[in-house]
Parts: sequence; C-alpha cells; structure tokens
Amino acid sequence: MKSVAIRLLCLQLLAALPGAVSVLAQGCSSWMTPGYSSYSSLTWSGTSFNSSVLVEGTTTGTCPLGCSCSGVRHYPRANNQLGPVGGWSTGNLVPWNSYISYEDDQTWDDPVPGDVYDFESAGEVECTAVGLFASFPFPDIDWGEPVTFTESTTALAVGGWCPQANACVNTTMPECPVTLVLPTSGGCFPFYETFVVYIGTACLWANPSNRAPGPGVCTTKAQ
Amino acid sequence: MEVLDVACVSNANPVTCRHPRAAGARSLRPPQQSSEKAVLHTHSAPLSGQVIDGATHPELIPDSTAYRLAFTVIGEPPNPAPQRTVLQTARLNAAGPAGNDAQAAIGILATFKTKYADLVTSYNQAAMGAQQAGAAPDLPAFLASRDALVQSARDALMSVLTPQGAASLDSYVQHEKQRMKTSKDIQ
Repeated sequence: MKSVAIRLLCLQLLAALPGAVSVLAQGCSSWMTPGYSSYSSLTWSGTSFNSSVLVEGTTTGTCPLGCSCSGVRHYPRANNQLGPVGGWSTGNLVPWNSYISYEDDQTWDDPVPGDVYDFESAGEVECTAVGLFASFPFPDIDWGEPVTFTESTTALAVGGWCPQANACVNTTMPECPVTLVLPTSGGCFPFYETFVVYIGTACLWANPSNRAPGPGVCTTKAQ
Repeated sequence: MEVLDVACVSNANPVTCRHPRAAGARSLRPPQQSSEKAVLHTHSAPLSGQVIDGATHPELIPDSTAYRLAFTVIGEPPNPAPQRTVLQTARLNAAGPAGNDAQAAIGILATFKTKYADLVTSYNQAAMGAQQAGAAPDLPAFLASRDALVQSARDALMSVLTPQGAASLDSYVQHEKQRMKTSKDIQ
C-alpha cells in the first residue's frame, strides 16, 4: 500500500543578496510545517466515470531572523489519471503561506465494455526552493468498466423477480450479484442486458436504465 | 533539512509501488507527463509522518475535514456550465441525495462553494500583506471561519434533506474518508 510521505524542505532564496544568509545555513531550513489535505474521488454516472483530485491547505512557520522568505513560492500538483485520460496538472504559484485549494477533474465518457483500466491519483505541494514539499499518493484502483451480459433461460421466475444473477462475466474480475426485474409471461424469463460496474474488489451497482430494451430468445444462452 | 518517514522512494516512476493488478487487466495510460518528478511512496505505518491516512484510519479524519473536502468536490458555483451540471448530478447520485433532496443540496453547496472561495481569497490577500509587513496572518481565525462555514452547510443540509437523504449523505462522506489524507496538525 502506498501511504504518505512528507518532506519538510522549503528554504529561503537568499544567495543573490549581499550579506544574505545561505539557503542551507543553519536556522534557515526546516522552519515550515505543511498542513494539507488531499482527496481522491471516483464516481460512475451510469455512462461515464468522473474523478477528482483535491489538494487543500497551507503552510505555517515563522521566518527566522536574518532569512528572507518572500521569494519562496508553493504550488499544487495533482495526478488524476483516469484510464486513458488525465495525468499530472499544476496549479498556480502562490506565496508559501497562502491557502491552497486546487482541484483537478477528469471525465471519461467512452469506456470499452470488457476492458479493465486503472485509476491513479496523487496530490502534491511543491516548493520553488527545493521541490517536493508534501506528497499524498493514493493507492491505485484497478477498475472494470461496464460489462454486458444477456442470457435467457427456461427457469421460472418467482413473483416476477429473478433473485440474483451474476452479471460480471469476466471471471478474473469480481462477480456482482444483481437483482433484475423480469416479466413472467410464457413460463420463462430473460436476463436483460445489464451494466455492472466494479472497482477493485468492490461492486458498485447495476444501472437499470442501461438494460437492453427487450429479452433474449427464450431457452437460449448468449453472451 | 528534514525528511519524514520515507520508506520507499521512487525517483522516476510514481507507479512503482502499485498494487497487484487483477489478471487480464490492462492499462491504457499514456506515458507519464511528469515522470521527472520524484515521488515519495511509503509502505509503512498507518500514521505516516505527520499525515493521517484515511485508508487505514478513517476514524481519525475529522468529520469537518471530510465534509469540507466532499462539499468542495461535489459543490458547484451558482449557474454552472452544462457539463458541470452533469458532473454534479453524477456526484450527488453517488452521495445519496436524489430528487428534491438533490435540488436542495445543489443550492446549499453553491452557497458553500461561493463563500469558501471568498474566504480563501480574503485570507490569501491578508497573508500576502502580513508577509510584506513581516507578520503572520491570522490562520486560527481563518480556520475557525472555514470550519464554521462547513458546519453551517451541514446544518443547512440536515434541515432540508429527508432523513434518508441525510443518512445516505453522511454514509457517503464517512466512506469517502478512505480516499482522504490529511495533516495531523492543520486540517
């Protein structure tokens, strides 16, 4: 599991000033404390995936006597790689003590049935003096995209409902129990085409609006 | 210079420490756009350095922080662009409020989003002025105002949502803590 590491590295840029204290001089380093939060969000709309990476917070500290801190800037970065879209993005440079609220959003409208992709996300704050200042890497999520499944059978439905059906047909992925509403005429019932979304090992939900408009042929089984 | 709790350092590829992928999975990721940046990964304690990892300790992520992050992502300013409206609808569906609950939430979150942006802008202007004067900005006052704004939005939502909508929203935010990380000192 990836977790978090934070480096306290932001220093002063003073070397160019006459008589200035070196950025690495004792007393002019490690005086900043990062205070940031990050949130990685992934949702499914029924037809597309949406992801967000948010970085928020600020830095505290007291500029040591004899050090100039006015030139130090921070900026947020976000990795929001949603399948084939997104990637790293960068926010504006701001003074080191500014409050940052930076959000990167991605939408993928065109998932391909049966394929599996991953979602990579991370939030960072960088310092112009020395680079990476705070890092919030999130664990990758392997996620499947909608899988279609159509089946017909001669089995009788009970009260118009098929209790459950395994709708994820790729056996390398988690199988998701789904309750389907089914007609009972003719003594047999069809499984309608169903979208099931799964992310990692967690099933999400089936979207009824994505069912096929009609049943398959009774007594046949097709995928 | 101080480096906190760096157990695994990858200086080229930020996905070196990835989880095992399910058999048959394939990635369509384009090449990393910023692979030159060092990324620090750890596989160490749940409380790594000065950061709370909600994946392992969601109970340590304060509700005020979790709601703020969730509101910031779900909320849209008033009169959003059509594609943002679609995005917000998807997020609200995931969060639970539907129908009239969703419509009520949209308005409350728009107010939150606007006030939050104004609050941040005001603080940053004050912080810049303070720095020029060699002083420190009033961060405690800002954080208090920020958290009060979050609480106000929560109260407003609880007052208009149905019990089911309120419960589902809270359940969603609690669940989302698993995808949140926050500094221990300043959240």
